[in-house]
Amino acid sequence: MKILSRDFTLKEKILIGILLVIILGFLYYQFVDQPINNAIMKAENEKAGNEIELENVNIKISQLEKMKNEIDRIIADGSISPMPSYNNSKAVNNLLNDVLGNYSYSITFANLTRNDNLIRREFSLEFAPADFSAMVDVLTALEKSEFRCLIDAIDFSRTRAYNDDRTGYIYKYTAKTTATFYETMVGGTPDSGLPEG
Amino acid sequence: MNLTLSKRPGHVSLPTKRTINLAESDQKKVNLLKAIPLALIIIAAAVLFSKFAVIDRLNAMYEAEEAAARSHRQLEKGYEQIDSYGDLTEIFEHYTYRGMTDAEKKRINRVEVIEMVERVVYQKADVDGFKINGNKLVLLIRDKDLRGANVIAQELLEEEMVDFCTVTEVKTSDRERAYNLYYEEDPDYITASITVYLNGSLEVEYDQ
Repeated sequence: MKILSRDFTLKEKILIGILLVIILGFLYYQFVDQPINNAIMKAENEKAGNEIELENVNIKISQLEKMKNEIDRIIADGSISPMPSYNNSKAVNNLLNDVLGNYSYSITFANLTRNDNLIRREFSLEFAPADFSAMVDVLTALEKSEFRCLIDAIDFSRTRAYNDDRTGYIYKYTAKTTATFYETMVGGTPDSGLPEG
Repeated sequence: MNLTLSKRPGHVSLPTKRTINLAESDQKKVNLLKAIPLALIIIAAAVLFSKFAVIDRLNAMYEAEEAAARSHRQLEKGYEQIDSYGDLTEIFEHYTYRGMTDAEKKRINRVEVIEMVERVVYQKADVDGFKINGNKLVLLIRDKDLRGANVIAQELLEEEMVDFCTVTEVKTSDRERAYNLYYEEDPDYITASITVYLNGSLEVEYDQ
């Protein structure tokens, strides 16, 4: 079918060809190239964002693994107990009561100190153990208790005196110590006794 | 052709054309020698265009999307692994040494020190007392003579937790008796002060 009543001239054919190329090019750009470019860019941005986030996640996993290893090591070592949450004063007093039993004793608690989440409950203790072994038992019970307690200074002495009928000697022992119970604010409930951190 | 005059005035009958003059148009003859290569070129161009401009681009898009999906799966796996640790962070806060001073962290286990005293000293001499402060342990013992005190000091020096040990003061019993009547019946003895510097603390204090 002829559109015109005559054939296209060469010039017209060339112009029609150029027009077709332009139209095809535009259609390609609009419906193929742009959507593909956009999809690739979107995917690459998503991948880049995921990779940055994955880096942070891996760092977090590494930190958690270190925490787990440290906890396992501390538990296996058994040399130090965990810190309870603040305020653990009631349990501490009960522990001291149980450990000291019927000994004559004197306890003085210092003011609480706080370093960020760490709470220190320092105290000085003076008691009269029956003998050296009894002193060791008391200090061991404190240091190995379920609550973290580190003993600082110890002053242990004995004095000798005649017994009542002066037929022999008896020893009287005195033990003085300063120690600290440690607590953490994690899981703890602040109260008016809590110092500023 | 029948030409007849119409009977209506002023109207002319025109003859009806009953034949058609089919003029043959000029048929252009296709030159196959030119057309076939041209067609092949066009087809090849179309194929190449489809390959490089469409198919390859689509493949690049699919690969980019797959890479994004892969990174997303890795991320999800990472979060699952974090969740698997549960409340570890909170548990860690109850076990950590963070916040404790270096001196606290490196403090010798006091009970172990006392057990060392019991193991090394109590078997050999009478212990009037001892003091522990920081990394220093001072023992007050009662022994037969200075040689005995010296043996104790040497044995303490071999202990792993001991950094340095020395006998710092020795006194014979006659000097003490003058001040303490309770010891009249005791045989001759010496009282000695043995100073032990323990390992583990940051600062090692030496007396001048």
